[in-house]
Amino acid sequence: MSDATSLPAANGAPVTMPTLTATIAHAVRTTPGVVRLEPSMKNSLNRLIAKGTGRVGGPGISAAGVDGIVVSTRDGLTTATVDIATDTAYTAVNVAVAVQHTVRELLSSHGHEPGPVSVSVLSVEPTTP
Amino acid sequence: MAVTSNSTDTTTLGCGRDVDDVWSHIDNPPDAHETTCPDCQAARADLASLNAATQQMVKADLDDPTLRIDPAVLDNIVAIARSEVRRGSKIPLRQGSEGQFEGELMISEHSIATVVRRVSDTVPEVEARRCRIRLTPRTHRFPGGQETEGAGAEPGPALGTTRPSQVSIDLSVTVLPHLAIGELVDSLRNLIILTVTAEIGVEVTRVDITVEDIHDPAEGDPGDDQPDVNGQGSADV
Repeated sequence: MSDATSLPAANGAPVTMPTLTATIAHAVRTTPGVVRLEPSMKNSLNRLIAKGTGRVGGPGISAAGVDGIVVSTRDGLTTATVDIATDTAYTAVNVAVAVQHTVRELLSSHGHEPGPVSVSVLSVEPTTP
Repeated sequence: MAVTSNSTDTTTLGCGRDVDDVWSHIDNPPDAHETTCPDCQAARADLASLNAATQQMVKADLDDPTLRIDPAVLDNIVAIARSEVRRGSKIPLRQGSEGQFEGELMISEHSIATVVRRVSDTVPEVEARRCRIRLTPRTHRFPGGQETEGAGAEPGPALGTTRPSQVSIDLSVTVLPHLAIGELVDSLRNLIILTVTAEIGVEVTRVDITVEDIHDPAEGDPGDDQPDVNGQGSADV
């Protein structure tokens, strides 16, 4: 994936899409109730395409992805899709809302206009016996 | 190669034959016309070079390890594809006049079904078989009395607000013999509603439990030989 997809940040420092995506991934993983990021078919194919072409997304789209997260920017809006597994000790919908809020806050703090941030809970599992 | 410069027919050779015709059998010996036609002979010579270069590039691509997909990556994708099939479709976690601009919140039907199965496993007299989750359309009643979606009636949410989604659950089970099935099923139903509400955060509007059979505690899992049948728009897990 190319680091050439640099984006302007609010405080002046350019933020590459891979860096932004990695930052979001870390924040999501540390959100209470998130067990892990879940890779999805769409996500994996995007990464495979990126390996071959050096980029994710079509013309006019800057995008990057890690397992469970795809972030893309188009027409001034940055959107994200996040796939997670949640802990049964937490209510899944509350975890999803928290993740959505966290990602939107992160996008804003990195100088992006947040577009839709979609969160999917793909697995709910107990982490303690 | 002598090719006419006519703007509407730029692939015709000086002899009148189309260069595509020559190209189409470049791997074969020249035909009777080509053995005597200087235009075709020149075209064949040029096309033969092009053909050789093309074959060389194809072979180079086939031999280039960087153009091959890592088998481990392929295996990973197949595993993920299988997981996605098992997860079933997704249903929204919240319904209503949601702020679509903020993005969707979804959950796989498999996730909810897994919770239902786990609850069933805590009741020793019960063995869960199939579980199907369905989204129940919310009904909104607007001030004029007009209703949308579903048969019930409730005030619609304000614009920009959402409510927990409503789901119905169909579960088929087998139970141990000599039990009061009605009480057992009621108890299981309440447990499912409480747990799904707590762990998922959706409203469970209905739990239909079908006792399909009686099983002997000495036997194995009665669901072992029961193939799951996936219905359209729902997940049997």
